[in-house]
This record gives sequence, C-alpha cells and structure tokens, in this order.
Amino acid sequence: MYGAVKGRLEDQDARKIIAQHLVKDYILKEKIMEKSGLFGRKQKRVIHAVKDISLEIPQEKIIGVLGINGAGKTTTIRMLASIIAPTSGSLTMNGVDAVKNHLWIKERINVISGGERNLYWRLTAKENLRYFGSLYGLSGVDLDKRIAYLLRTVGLEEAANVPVERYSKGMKQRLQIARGLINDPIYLFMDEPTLGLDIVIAKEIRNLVSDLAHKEGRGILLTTHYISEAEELCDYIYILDKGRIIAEGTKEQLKGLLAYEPKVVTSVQEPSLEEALIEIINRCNS
Amino acid sequence: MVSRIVTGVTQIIFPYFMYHYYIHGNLNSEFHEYANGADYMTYVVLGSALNVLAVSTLMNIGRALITELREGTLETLLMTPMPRYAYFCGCLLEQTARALLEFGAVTAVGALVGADLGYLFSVRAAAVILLAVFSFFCMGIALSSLMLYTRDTYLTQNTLFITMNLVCGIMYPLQYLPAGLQYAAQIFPLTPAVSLFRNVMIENQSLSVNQLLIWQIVLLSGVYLLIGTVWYKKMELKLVESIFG
Repeated sequence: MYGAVKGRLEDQDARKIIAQHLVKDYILKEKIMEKSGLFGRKQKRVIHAVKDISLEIPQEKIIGVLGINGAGKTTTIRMLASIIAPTSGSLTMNGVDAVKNHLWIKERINVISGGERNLYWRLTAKENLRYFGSLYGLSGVDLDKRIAYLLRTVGLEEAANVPVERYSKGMKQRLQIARGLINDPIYLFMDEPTLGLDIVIAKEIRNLVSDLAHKEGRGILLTTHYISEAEELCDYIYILDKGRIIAEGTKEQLKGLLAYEPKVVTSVQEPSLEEALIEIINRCNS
Repeated sequence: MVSRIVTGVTQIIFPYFMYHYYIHGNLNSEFHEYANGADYMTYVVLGSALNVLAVSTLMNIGRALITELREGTLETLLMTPMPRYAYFCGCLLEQTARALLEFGAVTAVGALVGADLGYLFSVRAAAVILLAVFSFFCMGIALSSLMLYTRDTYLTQNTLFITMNLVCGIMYPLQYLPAGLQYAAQIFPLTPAVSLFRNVMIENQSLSVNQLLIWQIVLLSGVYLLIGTVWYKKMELKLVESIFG
C-alpha cells in the first residue's frame, strides 16, 4: 500500500466521508475572433461546475445524488474520489484530510461507472482484476483469493478466462463492480451503475449494491437517472442542480417537502420521488 | 512495430541505392574524417538502428497514456494509489523488448546490405544501447506530458522525430549542418548517443575515451528526468482537469 497519513484530524473514529462547501471551478480558454485581425485572442472564462456542496456519506448507508444532466454529479464524485482537487472546501474520510492524504484515501475508495469503459477489453476478466489488484499493491495468493471471491460474487466464474470484448453489456458491468471491489474499499462511488442494462441484470446489481452497504458495511454514493432505483436503494438523497444542493433528505422527507397536488390523479395519492424531484428542480429554477 | 521496422529498413534501403548509384566513389575525405573512416552504409545503418530505438522508446509512455485516455481506462488508472513511475517503468520494460526487436531487424537488414557490424555483440555496445535507452526514456517522460496535454500523438511525436532525424547525425555527419543547428542538436540525447554508438561500433573505442559523450548523455537524461518529473507533477492536475473537466 502506498499512502501514509499526514495531518490526521481528531475525530478519526468518525465512520463517514464529510464534504464541506466543495467548490470546483474550471477555467475555460475561449478563442474570440475579432473583425480585424486574423488570429483572434484568447479569453478566460470561469465555469462553476460545483458551487457549494456539503454532504456526508456514512458507512453502511447508500447515499443518492440525483439531478439532471450537467447538475455536477460526476464532478462531485471525481472530487470525492480524489481524481480532481476541489477549488475550495474541505473533504475528510473517517477523520482524515482527503486533500492532503489523497494516496491514503485512494487505497480505501473506488469508483464504479456505468457504460462499457474502464476495462481492458483484450484482457480476460481475471487478467483485468489481476492488473487492477496489482495497482493497489495486492499480489500473490491474497490477490488470487480476492479475484476468485469477486468473480464468484458477481457471477463471472465461468467467463473468467474469456476476453472482455466478448462479454455482454451486463457481464461488463458486473466485471466493473468486481474491479471496483478489488481493493476492498470502505467507500464506493457508483456513477449510474445500471446504465443501459436490462431489468433483470439491473435488479441483480441493485441487490448487490444493497448488500455491499447494508451487509458488508460499505458507504456508497450512488448517482442515477433511474429514480425508482434511488427510491429502492437510497437511505438519504441529495438533489443537485447547477452545481448546488437544492434539497436533501430521506425519500419520505423529500416527498414531504412538497405541498403538492398531482396534476394527474393516480392510485397512489402521495407524489412519487420522481414527481417530487421534477417539482423541486422546477421550483428552484423558477 | 511493423511500421517502425519498415521505416527503419527504408532508411537503409534508400541510402543503399543512393550510395551505390550516386555517391560511391564520390565521398570526399571530410566524410571519412567525420565518420571515423567508416564506409557510408555502416555509418547510415548504425545511425538508423539507434534512431529506431529512440523513436520506440520516446513514444512508449506518451502513447500508452494516450491509449489509456482513448480506451477509457485512464480515469481508473489515475484513481489508484499506484506511483506513476511504476507505470512509466512498466511501459519502458514492455516496450524496450519490442524496440530491441526492431533494432535487431534494422541491423540484420543493414548487415545484409554490407554494413560492418562486427562489434555489435560486445559488452561495450550493449552498455551504450542501455545508456541510450535510459536517456530516451527520460526524454520520453517529458514528452508524454506534452502529448497528453495536446491529446495528440501524431503531430507531437512526428514533428520531433523528423527534427531528430534531420539534426542528430543519423544519415549524414552533424558537421555538414550549419553551426547553429549543430548546437541545437546537442539538446537531444540521440546526438551524443549515436556518436558514442558509432565510436564503439566502428573503431571499437573503449568507453573511457568517450567520457565526454557519456557525461553529456547522463546530464541530458538528468535534465529531462527532472523536467519530466516536475512538469508531470505540476501538469497532472491540469491534465486531469483538461481531460475530465
């Protein structure tokens, strides 16, 4: 393992990730062509991808981050995973400063994204896991045992020696989950893990995500566009819009935030989480 | 790999015909002086072989990172706590074997067209090749940051490789170039490396009489390693943000 802890904070026993006032600005250089002159000039523009986000991810819980495209969900995950540094704000994991100790943090977290990237397609599942395991400093019998366990967990034992390029979408996603668990992370960031999967495989993955948090004690941050998925899995939800948290709470609390009368009367009188989400975003924008 | 072997072999075949049909018998005494008495084909084959090695080694890190970016695995890689140098060294080891194969192919064809490579299988030649690979690797680290920043392999590497081919004394002695270019050529590790390689291969000179060239290679390696390391560290965040932002 690579990271040594610097500047450990006092509340190191806290079993949660705490992000406070995270801000992420990007500087965009734009070329402006002027009427006279051939080459134009460059102008800097600041993009506020994440404006002020404070959230907590306790272990054993699934925390949902919902929002429309461009709300800042992926940028937030990348900051939490120490892939990009926040422009300002603080981030601690179990009491350890994540910005100063990013290597220590990286050993204890992992990110699982939806889609078919993040894997080496020419390699087999076993070879992929062996490679990623070695990047986390694992080797030998321990790594072999871990790989065997993960392949069993995600149901890819029989396809372990088949190149990933021959896998179906669902198999690739299950391998992504195995890859995300290779370092036995305390916290998992799942960015739309069921994107484009059929309902049977999506259900399998949702069950697995639930077990990872509630049975194995991991803290999970889940972003998804499938509101029913968030409703089924998440213990607590943050709603993001334009880089800001505009509402938070349990799904019941979020529904309760609305003095809401559904325009279409359905058999269920209380609004669904999806209706609540749309209404909250609309109200915020208006 | 095949394309680089073809390029390397082409660099020998063209001069072979040019030499036999145009140049043969017309080389002036200056060339022999600059080439330590070697015939033209030996001179060209030695230069081309080391050039192939330089191109392969210089490209490997940058191209590996660009491939990771295009294949979508770079984010996963950056997420791990793995030291970057372990990755760079892995790239070096993986591709050095391939580069040596290319080097072998070019020298084999060179021997067929009449180059005198009698000292190739000596400890001295091996030591020079290892030193050259190390210096190209150091330069490759600096180059990789540039390639990743521009997200381009073709323009960056080919501009550099054409420049190196023209000014580092691969096809003709450096002394034929204007004085300014001769000085400029000294910033590439390939220039002293190819001189050293020729000194060892043509005249079987010992390494001790080539200390100046060795120190130049070591110094350039150190400078590129420092620039590459510091720049990469500074650039990594910017690179990541330019990629993922």
